[in-house]
Amino acid sequence: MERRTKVVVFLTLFVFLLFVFKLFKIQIIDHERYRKLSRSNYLRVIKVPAIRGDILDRNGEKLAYWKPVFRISVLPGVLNRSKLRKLFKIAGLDSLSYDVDTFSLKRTYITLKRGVGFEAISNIEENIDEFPGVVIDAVPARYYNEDYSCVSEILGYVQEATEEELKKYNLEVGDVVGRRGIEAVYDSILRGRNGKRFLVVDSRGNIVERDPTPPIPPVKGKTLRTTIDANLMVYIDSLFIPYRKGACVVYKPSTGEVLALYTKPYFNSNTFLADFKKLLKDTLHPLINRAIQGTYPPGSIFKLISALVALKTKSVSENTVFKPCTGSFTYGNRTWGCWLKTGHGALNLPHAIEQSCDVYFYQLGLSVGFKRFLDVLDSLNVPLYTGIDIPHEKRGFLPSYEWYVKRLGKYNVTEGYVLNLAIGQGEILFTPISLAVLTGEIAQRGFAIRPYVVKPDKPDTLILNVDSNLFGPVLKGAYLVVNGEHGTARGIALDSIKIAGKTGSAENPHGKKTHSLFTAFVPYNNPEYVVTVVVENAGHGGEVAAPIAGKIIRRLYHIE
Amino acid sequence: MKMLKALFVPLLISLIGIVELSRINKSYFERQLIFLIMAVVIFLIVRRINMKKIIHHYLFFYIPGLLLLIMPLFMAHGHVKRWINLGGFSFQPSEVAKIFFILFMASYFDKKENRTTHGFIKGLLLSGLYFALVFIEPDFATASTYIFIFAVVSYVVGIDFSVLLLFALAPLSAIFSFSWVLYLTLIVVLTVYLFLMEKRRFFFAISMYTIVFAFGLFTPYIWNRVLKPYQRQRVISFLDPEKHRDTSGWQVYQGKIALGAAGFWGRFGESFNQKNLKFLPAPHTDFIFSSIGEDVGFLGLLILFTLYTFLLFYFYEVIKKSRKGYIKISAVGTLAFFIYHIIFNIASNLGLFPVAGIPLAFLSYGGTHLLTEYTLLGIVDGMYERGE
Repeated sequence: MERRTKVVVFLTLFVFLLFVFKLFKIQIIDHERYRKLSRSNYLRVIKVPAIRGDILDRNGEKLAYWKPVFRISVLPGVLNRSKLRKLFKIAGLDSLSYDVDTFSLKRTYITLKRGVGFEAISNIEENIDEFPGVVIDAVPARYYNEDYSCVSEILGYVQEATEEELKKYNLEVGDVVGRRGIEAVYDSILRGRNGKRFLVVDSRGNIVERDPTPPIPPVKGKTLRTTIDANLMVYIDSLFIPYRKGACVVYKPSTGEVLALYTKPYFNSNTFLADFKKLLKDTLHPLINRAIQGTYPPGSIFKLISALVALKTKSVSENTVFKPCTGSFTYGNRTWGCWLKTGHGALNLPHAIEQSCDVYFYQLGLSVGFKRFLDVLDSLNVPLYTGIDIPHEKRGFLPSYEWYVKRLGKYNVTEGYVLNLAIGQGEILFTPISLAVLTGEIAQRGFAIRPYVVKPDKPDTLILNVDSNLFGPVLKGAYLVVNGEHGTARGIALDSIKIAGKTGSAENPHGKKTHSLFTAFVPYNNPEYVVTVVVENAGHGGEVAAPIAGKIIRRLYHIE
Repeated sequence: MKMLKALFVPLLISLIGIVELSRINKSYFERQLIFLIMAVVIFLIVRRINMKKIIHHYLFFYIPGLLLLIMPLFMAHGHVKRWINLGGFSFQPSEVAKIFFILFMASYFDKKENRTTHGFIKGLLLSGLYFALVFIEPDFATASTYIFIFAVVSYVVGIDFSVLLLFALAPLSAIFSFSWVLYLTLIVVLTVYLFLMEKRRFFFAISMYTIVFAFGLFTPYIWNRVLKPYQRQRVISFLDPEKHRDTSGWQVYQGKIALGAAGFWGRFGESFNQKNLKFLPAPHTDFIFSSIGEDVGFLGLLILFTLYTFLLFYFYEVIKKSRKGYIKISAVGTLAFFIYHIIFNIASNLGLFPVAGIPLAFLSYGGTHLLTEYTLLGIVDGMYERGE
């Protein structure tokens, strides 16, 4: 028995020895690896979102800043689907921002929802034991100053990044990205860098300790100062109260600064996402930023361009006088009317602009010739698209000879079309911002700085291809529009400061009142501001748009 | 104070376990402390029982043990009929029955005529009833404890090794046939053994190979072809009823992390360890070895192995110095009992053996097991001291 007992004991001791070897491997050789594994068992990371940079107006007024909101984060893999559903029911939330299953970042908390209401939070807090792995904390969220909600269209809004954007911009779940406006264009500048906090959790996801190692603080995004004058925009908003739709641009052509880029109706950036369906259905189309996306027939404002075309071709000069206006003009076997049925009589070019005489411009067009008119127009480099630093600007439209041929057929394109073209009728379309830039280019005899709301390092110059000494008659005409005896906008003339401009009344296909347009620059001698006003279906340019522009200019110069 | 020799090492190990339990859960600690006191009292009592008169009638031990195993089949509740309630106490009859089984073996193999091949087969048939009863509870781990004790005792009492091998071959070739490496190793080892055998027995060799091939070939065939998937699943879940708790792979992984992160000195003072953060599964029972190892590190575990080695030497001394066969055999059975509970628990902690709910000797939480251990220790030590 002893011998076999010895065998049993020795075999057992041999197994003990094997165990010790195995333990030596685990505890001594692989010690570091297991230490790391142990650490990764309990150490979890929760993102500390960066504060998005503030957006200020030119006077330092805060347009967009941040406010703390509640955030619900969850550790993936701790709660099952039914528990998550329950969590959302208790919290009174309707949907997950993300499908939790698609994220397997088991060591990092993911954001379920930002901006959760206080009541929902307290409901969860009461039942927090039921939801291990859930963390509630306060994080910064974008907030827009509602005193200046008319600026919303310029600012845009923020939204949680889509899965595609997460990859593209290397973001973390729950991060927001800017949409529309400044938020979208300057997203990377405003974003900042997220920080991290560390948490110790047990195997069930319960938090045992917070910040076992110091957190990595987030870096706030850069503050952006814009060129916008928010209080001016609020004032413009008040001027638009009687009207439903329209736009207004206040712009410094010599620097490119845009002081106001107003559109009506506008949305509220704070509630954009919640309101989205309503906004989409709204028949006034508040989702269109009319200042850069509304395309309007320029009406008589185009006469400034016609005049430049005629001057460039040397078909007219300042003192050219055509057949006197009798209220209508007959060409071939057709008769075209002037807006003033009683007729303007004989006028030179500045006075024709002053009174916006259609008959004068019919003859001006004929003197250039249809094809030549279109070719020269094409060479002017009219600013149909300005490239302002706000996304989704629409391009205006100028017809070309080829366009007429394509549209009407080669043999139907007759000289008579130049008559309509010269007074700005046809398919010509301008956005308010492009009208403002055009006005600036004319005011400064051929150039304007590309408009912007955030000053770029090196502003571009936009050129109107007309010799600078050819602008005289046009500028004189624009001066007379406001200051002349018969000017179409003579009601807004000021003594102290000379305004120049041009009215326009754009026919619109719905047969309602015309769109009222007015674009002005001021002061006449040394242009500082361009003010362009478009009011939809409001009447003639001189009746509605010009008085609004006049009030804006008074405010710009503090004139009572 | 001769008994201190038997009690010293086990008590030291038990105290390590008590300290560890106090670090895991206060209520486990308190209850286990009470059980330990009870166990020492029982040790002192059973030490006085004189076995001389009854030891020659193996049925005195065989029948009560059998009744203990039958009891839970009628009295226990639930799917796994392992525990029964006794006035607020839940206890595990199959643990207590081990005492009777070891004494039954001592009594049975005390007789020289039972140490023959014939006697071995009769003993196997008698013990087979024990195995079967535990197996249908079902408690595969405990059933294998009985088989292990039976095998070790049979070997030590001097049953022809070839005969033992013959019987061991059937289950071994059935299990090993699932891995061709193991199966081939088995055939090679068997062949080497047959060559080294003093007497070359042709028929014996033929029957051994027949068993190896028959079980080796039929088991996979039956498993894969005859059994339907759901039947296979039933067998698997029958053999391992507690699998649903968590995947055992994850448990072993966490146990290894606990050991590995502890290093040489252990992480006794660290608050963010596997145990405190509940990453270590069942730290009071299945994984108490890892739990201790996390606190005391490699050095501490070496001391633990040394203590267990002293335990082995104690039994070796009893077996060597006792005059009476039944005392030796009781000691062998008890030794096998402890070896089983040490080796297979630690092996499962180290990922060398599936986690099967085998408690670690003197350390795992559990009253019945602790009382059984000290009872066996007391019986053996008492007999040894008296020399009977």
